[in-house]
Amino acid sequence: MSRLHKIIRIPLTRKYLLFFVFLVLGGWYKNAFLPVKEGFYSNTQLYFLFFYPLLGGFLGFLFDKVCRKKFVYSNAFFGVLFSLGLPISTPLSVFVIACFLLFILNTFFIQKKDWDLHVVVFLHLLLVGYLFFSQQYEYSNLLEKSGLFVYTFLDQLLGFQGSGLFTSSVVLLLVSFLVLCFDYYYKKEIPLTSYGFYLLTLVLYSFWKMDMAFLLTHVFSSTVLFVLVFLAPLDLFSPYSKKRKTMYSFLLGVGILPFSLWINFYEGVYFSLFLANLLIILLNAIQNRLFRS
Amino acid sequence: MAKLIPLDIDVSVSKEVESKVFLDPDFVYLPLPKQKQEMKKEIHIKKGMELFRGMYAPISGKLASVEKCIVPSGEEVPCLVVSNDFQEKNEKLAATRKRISHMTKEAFLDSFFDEVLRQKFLQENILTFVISGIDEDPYCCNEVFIQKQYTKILLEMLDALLNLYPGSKAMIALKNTDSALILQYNNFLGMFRNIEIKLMEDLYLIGREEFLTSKLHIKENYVYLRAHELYALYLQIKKRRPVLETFVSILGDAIENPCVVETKLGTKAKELLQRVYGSDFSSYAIYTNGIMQGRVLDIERLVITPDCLGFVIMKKKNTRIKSCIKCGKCITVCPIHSNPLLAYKRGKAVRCIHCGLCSYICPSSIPLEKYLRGEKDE
Repeated sequence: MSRLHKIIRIPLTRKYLLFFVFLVLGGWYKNAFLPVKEGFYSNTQLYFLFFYPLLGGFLGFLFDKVCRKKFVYSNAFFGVLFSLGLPISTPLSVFVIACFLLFILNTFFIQKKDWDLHVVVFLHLLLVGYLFFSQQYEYSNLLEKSGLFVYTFLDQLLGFQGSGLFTSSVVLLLVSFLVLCFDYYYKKEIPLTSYGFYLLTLVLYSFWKMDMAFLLTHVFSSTVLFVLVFLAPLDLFSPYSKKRKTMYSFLLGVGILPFSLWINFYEGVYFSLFLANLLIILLNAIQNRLFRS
Repeated sequence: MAKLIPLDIDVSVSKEVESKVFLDPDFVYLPLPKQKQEMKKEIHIKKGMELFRGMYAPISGKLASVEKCIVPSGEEVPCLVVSNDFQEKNEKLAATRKRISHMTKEAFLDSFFDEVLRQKFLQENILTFVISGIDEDPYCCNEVFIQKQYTKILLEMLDALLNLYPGSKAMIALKNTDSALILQYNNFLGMFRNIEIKLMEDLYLIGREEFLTSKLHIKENYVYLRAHELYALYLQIKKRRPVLETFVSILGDAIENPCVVETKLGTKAKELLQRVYGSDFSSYAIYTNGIMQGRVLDIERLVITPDCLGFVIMKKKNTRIKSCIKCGKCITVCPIHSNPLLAYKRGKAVRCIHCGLCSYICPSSIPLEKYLRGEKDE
């Protein structure tokens, strides 16, 4: 009501979506354009890859329309966000089912009942688990798997590396982060602090193992950057008080490397974020119980 | 010190105000003190007559009835209705005028009509007079207007206070963006020793006592006055009369020629708007006391009291309230570090200065100040 006079700037979710467009184009270049050019996929891959974000967004939009819900973080937004970090081997049918699960959880539990569970990460881990047990788990495209291709200098410059469907461009992720830092509502301290802790653990581990190549390989991991820049600071799932934010960032940052070493470098950061999220939920629940009593 | 923030101002709302006067309302409505809820026996009253302790009649006329009205704080209170006879018959002044420089401190303290203002001067050792010439709301300009209109009068009054309290000094805090006012003060300041201008950043709430004194590093032995209180002091001490009029600013994107109106206390807001603009703006959103701290009240029953700063008349816009996304910005911007989410989500009573910053910053457009006032969800 009293915001009548406020000059509404571009909402944070719209900025996110703008960067998603660039990320999709970057991912398309790596996972569709280059392999098709080298003859590893048919031309349909050029269009097929776009289906994931488009379908995720469209299904989310339809879900919002049918349920007549209008959230700041809409299902369409979550549909697109969810599609970005998927393994390349994800079947479209599985993706659609996962999307519906995501929308149901988001609409009827997360936003309605005020749950703090990071639904995107939860669904990602669920989907990855399914793919793993059905032996379809794969992040590298055929070109990368063949071992015949070496990325050009331009590719390296653009920061392409093995990652989710559309999360491979480190440069785009860094640019996104820098631009998002200027947004008043973006919780920039979360990616900054957690990346700091991640870097610290990485440096310590590399010195311990005397393996500087390991440090250089993982210092700009696109999967880690994507999770830290886009998933970790999402308002709905991240804490808002200063102490909790620091705790959350610490848990997230410190957990990345151990989980990456234990599971793999694609899912370690997702596990770390999921656990940090769960611990904060647990801490809130304990505090609420103590506060009430 | 709390971290204060600047506000985004809609530039389409002009702050170039013109001066208007409306001093002849048909009726005035005077809120009755809580203990005295019945009508006074005197039927004919004179202007300036003390009806109850600290309550003076702003017009001469007849007591008509008692009616329930709304005051700017939103409360519904019984009010004495005085019908104006338009003769402005004055009550005889209580004492003869005496030059303030010849007054003793005791005589000075006895000359107040307003007890609240008098209380500020009761402390023993006054070393600094802090004058806030800053309007709190971005769309209210009463303080700046009063200073522009009465610069010399205010400075003379301040000088008189400095003479009364030897060894004291005065600071007038102005926003560094009010260039016209700064220039105007500079034209007179050479004549007044011990009065200095302090330029403050254009931050919301910077004019409030706790934030201003903290910014000026003043902790004790000071008197904090707003520009309108200094003017009231001038009326009471130098003119020897109670304050019977007030200044009300009327701005907003629905208004082409914004103004500050001098009007009688107790005038109904609807009558004021109709007489000044020829319309009661019923199809617009009228915020009483500014857009940040004010609220939309029933303009038909609203009475202008000394705490009424003005009206902001805005075109109605469809602001859809969305669910909370837990961004926590309401907590970050709160100048007293409260948690408005506790009031919103759990209905808990939270310490609040009702500055409206939480509602202003909320990306989901949740009217948090409503919950902080303890109002229930519709």
